[in-house]
Amino acid sequence: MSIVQTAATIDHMVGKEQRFQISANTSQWSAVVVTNRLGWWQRRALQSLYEISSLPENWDSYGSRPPTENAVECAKRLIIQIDRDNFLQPRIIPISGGGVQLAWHSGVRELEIEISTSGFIVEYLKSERGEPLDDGLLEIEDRSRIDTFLSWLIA
Amino acid sequence: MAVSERTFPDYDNPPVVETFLGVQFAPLTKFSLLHFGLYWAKIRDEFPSFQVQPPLGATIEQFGVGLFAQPRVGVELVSQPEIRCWFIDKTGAKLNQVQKDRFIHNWRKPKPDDKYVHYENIRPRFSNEWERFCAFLDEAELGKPEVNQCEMAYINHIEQGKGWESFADLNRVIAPWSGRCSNEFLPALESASIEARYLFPEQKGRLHIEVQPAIRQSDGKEILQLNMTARGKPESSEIKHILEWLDLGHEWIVKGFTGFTTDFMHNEWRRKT
Repeated sequence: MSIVQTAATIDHMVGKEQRFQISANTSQWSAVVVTNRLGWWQRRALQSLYEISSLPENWDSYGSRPPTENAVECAKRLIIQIDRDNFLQPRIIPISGGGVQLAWHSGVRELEIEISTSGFIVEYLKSERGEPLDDGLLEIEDRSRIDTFLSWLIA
Repeated sequence: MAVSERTFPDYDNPPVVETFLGVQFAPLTKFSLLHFGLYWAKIRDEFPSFQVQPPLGATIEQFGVGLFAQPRVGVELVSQPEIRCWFIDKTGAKLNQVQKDRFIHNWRKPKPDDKYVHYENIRPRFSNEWERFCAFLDEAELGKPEVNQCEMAYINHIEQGKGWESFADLNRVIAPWSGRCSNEFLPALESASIEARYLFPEQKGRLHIEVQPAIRQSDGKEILQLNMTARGKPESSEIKHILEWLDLGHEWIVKGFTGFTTDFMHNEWRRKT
C-alpha cells in the first residue's frame, strides 16, 4: 500500500477533515535496505531479488521486461515483514511481463506467492506432493495469514 | 579550490556514493501543493522528473547534557496533506528536494564506476539551486526563509569483499572498534550497528556517524553503510553564513571520516593526502 493509499484509507476510517500525516526521517537518495534486524534467509532473498531486478530486457527471449519497480518493492516488503529469524530461503523467480514469484519448498509441501507487474495483485498457491491444495488472493499486509501459510509449510 | 590546494584528506577511490547539502527553515505558511508545480516550471529543463515523497520530520540539534537532535518520525494530525517533492535531473545524478520547511540538494553516483564529485563542485551547485529557490519564493510572495538548521551528509558504501568479509573484520574498517572481547565466550560477531555523535566546539553543530549493515538495491550487494551527517545552526539566513556553516560541516565530515576509519581502509581507498 502506498503512502497515498494509506492516507486515503485513514481518511475513510476517521471520516474527518483532519487526517494523519506520515513523515520520513531521511534525506538520502541512494536506496538500501538496512539489514541489522533481518535474518540470514531474508538477506539472501533480498540479494536474489535485487539481482533479478537488474535482468536485461528480453531476459526470457520472449520479449519480457525485467521485474518492475513496483513488483520488486512489494516483494521486498513481503520479505522484510516476515518475523522469523530462521526460516527456509525462498527461490526468487522473475515472471514474464515484469512480476516476481517467491517459492518455498519444505518436504512435500510448496508455497508460491506471485506478485503482479503492478505490485498490487498478490496470489498464493499451496501444493502438496505436486497437487494444488489451495489458491487465491493475498493482502500483502495480512501478516497473520502469511504466517499461517509459513507454519503450514514447515508443519 | 584546486586539487593541489586541498589540505583535507583525499582519496583516489573513496567509498562515497552520495552527498547532500540542505537547509531547514521555519515553515512557509503560504506554501501549498500548487507551489511545487510552479517551482518545477522554473527548473524543469534541468530537472525533468519528479517523485512525491513523505515529508521529513523537523530536526534541530539540541545542546546540553544528553541532548541531541531527535528527528521527528511518526504520524500526526494535519489539516492539509504535506508532501516533499523530488526533482531529478536528466543524468540521474542530481536531485532537489523541496518541502515547506526544507531545501536539499543531493548528488549521487549514477553508476558505481563514475567519478566522485568533490565538495568544491557540489557547493556552488547547492548555492545556485538555493538562490534560485529563494528567488522563486520571493516572486511567488511566499516570504524569505528563516533558516534554523544546515545539514550535510556523505553516504559511504563499503562493499563486502573490499577490505572486509564478515563482521569479525569490523575492526579493520572502523578505527575506534577494537574487535576484541574480554574473554573467549562470545563467538564471531554476526552483525553490528554503530551510532556515534561528536560535538563541534562552541555548540556550532554536531557530527553524527552511523554504521549499518545493508543491501544495496541497485545491485543486491552487501555493504556497510557509513553515514556521516553534520548538522547545526548558521549565524544567519544569509547565503554567506549558510555556506560558512557548510564549509565547517564539510571539514568535520572529511576529517571525521578519516579519523573514524582505519589506515588499512585508507590504503584500500588509495589515500593521496
